[in-house]
Amino acid sequence: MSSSSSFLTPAGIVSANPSDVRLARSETQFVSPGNQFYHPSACNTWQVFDGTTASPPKLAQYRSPANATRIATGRYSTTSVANLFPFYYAAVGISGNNTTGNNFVLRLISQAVSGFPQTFFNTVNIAGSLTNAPRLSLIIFGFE
Amino acid sequence: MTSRFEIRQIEPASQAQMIAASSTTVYTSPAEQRFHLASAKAWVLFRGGHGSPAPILSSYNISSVTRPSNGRYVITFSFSFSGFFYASAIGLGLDGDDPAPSMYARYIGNSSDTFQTQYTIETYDFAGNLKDNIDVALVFYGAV
Repeated sequence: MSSSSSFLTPAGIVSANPSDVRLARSETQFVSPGNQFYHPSACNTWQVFDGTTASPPKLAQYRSPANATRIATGRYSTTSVANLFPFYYAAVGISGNNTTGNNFVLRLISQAVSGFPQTFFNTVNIAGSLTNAPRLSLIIFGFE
Repeated sequence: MTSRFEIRQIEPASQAQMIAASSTTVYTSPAEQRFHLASAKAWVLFRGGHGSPAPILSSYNISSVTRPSNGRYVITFSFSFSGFFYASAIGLGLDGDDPAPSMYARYIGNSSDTFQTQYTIETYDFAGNLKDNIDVALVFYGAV
């Protein structure tokens, strides 16, 4: 005789909806993978791309559907998958390179565009001049 | 072939289980998700150079941001880290697209009692002078 085991979810334990996950208070619901990003402790989006080309290709991403846009030398914008509210969110990032002596500083520019999650930022060299950087990482936390 | 179904009460993960991050038989609730080490413990976007307390534009688990002097900010968490060491990352923002004045930041921390509940950051211009930055974003990871 062969047998198999299954675990049944007891009635009453339900998947937390986005609002419940965002509130982060319930202890009687479970967080499904599909809704986990609504929790305020989870980042909304992240992306790493190559800023040396005119249309910077994504090297890796989470919920960043579009490629970054290089507006001008050392000036970029990215767009994440959904609106964040109330227009303000915490964006951190770093720029990198593999050439000794080239130091880049990432500058994020706050700009609310009708709640659309568009982030503008600059990269400058150690002298303060706008400079393209080969590796740009951006992580965004906010309420979605 | 027969199947054997086992009905088992599924319990919410405790804080300790979330930190251990090894159980596969308890569930994550919205209230406990923040304890996982993959979750940010706090984040904030605040505005510098606007007196003290610094205006908070958006935040999670931040109690206040004070500005004791030019370019220096003290972030108080609404919880306490369990140890003196935790990870932080920063984004320095601008209004507009002017890359200058370029700035950098450093945090001030040591094994003191307050470092578990407070974090001090300084922002400088490239001449080495403490200088307020328009927007400052911070993200924190660690054990609580």
